Amino acid sequence: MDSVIKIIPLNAYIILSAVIFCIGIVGVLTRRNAIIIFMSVELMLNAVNLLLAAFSSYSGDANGQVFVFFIMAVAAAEVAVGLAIIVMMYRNTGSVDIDLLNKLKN
Amino acid sequence: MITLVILALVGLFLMIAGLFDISRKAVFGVAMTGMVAALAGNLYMWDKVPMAYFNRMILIDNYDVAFITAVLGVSMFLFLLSENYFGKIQNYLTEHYALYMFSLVGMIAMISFNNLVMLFIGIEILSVSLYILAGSEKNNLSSNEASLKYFLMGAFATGILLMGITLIYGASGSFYLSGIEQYFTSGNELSPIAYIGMFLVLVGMSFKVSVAPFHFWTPDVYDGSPTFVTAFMSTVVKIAGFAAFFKLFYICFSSVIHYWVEVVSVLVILTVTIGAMTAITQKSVKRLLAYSSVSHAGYMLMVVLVGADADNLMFYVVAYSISSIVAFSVLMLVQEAAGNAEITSFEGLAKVNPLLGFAMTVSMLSLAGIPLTAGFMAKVYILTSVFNAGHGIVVLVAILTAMVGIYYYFKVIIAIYFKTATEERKLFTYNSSSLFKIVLFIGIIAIIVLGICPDIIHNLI
Repeated sequence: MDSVIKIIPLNAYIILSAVIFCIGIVGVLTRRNAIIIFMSVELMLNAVNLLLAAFSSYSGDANGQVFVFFIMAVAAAEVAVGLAIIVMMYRNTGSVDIDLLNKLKN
Repeated sequence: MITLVILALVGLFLMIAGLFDISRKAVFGVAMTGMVAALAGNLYMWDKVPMAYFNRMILIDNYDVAFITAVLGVSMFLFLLSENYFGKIQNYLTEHYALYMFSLVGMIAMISFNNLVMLFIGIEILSVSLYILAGSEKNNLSSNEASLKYFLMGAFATGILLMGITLIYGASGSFYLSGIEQYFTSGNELSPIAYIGMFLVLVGMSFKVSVAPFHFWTPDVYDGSPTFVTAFMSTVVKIAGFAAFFKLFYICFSSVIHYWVEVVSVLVILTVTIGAMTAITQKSVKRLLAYSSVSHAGYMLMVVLVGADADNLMFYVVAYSISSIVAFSVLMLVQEAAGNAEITSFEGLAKVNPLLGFAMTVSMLSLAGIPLTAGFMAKVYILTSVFNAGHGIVVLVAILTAMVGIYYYFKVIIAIYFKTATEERKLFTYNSSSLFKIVLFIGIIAIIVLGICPDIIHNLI
């Protein structure tokens, strides 16, 4: 498996992950729909996962790949809680637009 | 580690106990017993040889024991005041308790971490529990809003923190603190991704402990959550967050301090200034306390800036937590009687209920940092060490903003003593049990005693 990953140089993985990560950040900052923001956060986490797997293969150290499993498990738990919160919001306001979240500002 | 296991088991037990018909008193008793047992197990570790668990992912030395004691002690103190809060919960009572237990598990993991994986897992266990607790008033729109904002911002911060951890791993090849420390102290030229990783970790942790300019979620989340949850978040969670923040930077990055010291000092200046300036215009005491927690976060960050003296951090978080809890407990009672948290609801409180008025005054004085209170000594210790480390400008800004702070804390005191209550408000009954009074009393005494002889806690670690 290592050889397949190592066909591509490490810098390519770093750049790809950085690009995906930045797309995620821009998504979080510009989108107004709670579910799309949430998807952008997942994109950021997956960029991290990809980079961890690449680093781990290149240094021949399994710790990084084990950490990927931890991130996946925690992200799944977060999805469960997060979607529940969004559903709760939708039941009370009938929308998932975060611009409606201005009750506390005033 | 026994602390961690006890709390996790009590949490699981409480979740299962929800299936059966158990009285409220029994549930409260189980939770308190669990915390006392965990505290005893933790204190047993004091002054022993540092112990490693879980393949050295957790390492417990005196620093960790001290902060875990602070976290457990403050949350027990807070739980004694929880009668009104838990009394109002109709459904899923045991699950609420279980979530508090799980968040304590997360905090202990993030205080005693020796591996960045454990730090991440601890932060996540804590955060996921708090997202639910912030939104626990399901039909209250502000609570929903607080929960969703906290969740989106928290998940975003987690992503940034993880990217930082990954880049540091890529550069140093290890998740262990000792491995990272070795990489940074080796004297070889550091890889650029190590620096980027360090700054992303700084940003991620700043989000979690609400340091400006990453604090913008704090006022809304603290304002919208149920007041008891707000008290929990702004005291206990802050202790754990800063314990982890300080440990990470002290162990891993102190050898490259010249790269981040200026960034952190700008963060400190921004935090104390923004916290104080935005608190001036607040009309709600709850929101005022939220902003004050932001400016206090600035003082705690100063300890990270100096990169030494964990004693000062310990003393500051204890002094701040006790003062805040006294303030929040009075706020909870006033809010229940008056129906809102506005400053006007506090007018004439001293005549209607002298004990509550006095307790609020003492805690406000301590938060403002007036001499003879714990808050004053805490500020003195931290500012002295910052000054000795050569950050004169930071000290100057901190003192100026502390003066601004006196203005808005005294607004509450003036309302309590020098305004008269409306006829309607004179008839309010403040529903405080004897337990409540005892805790308020202990809180007031602790603030004054710590202000006069701070050595009880200081110099302990």
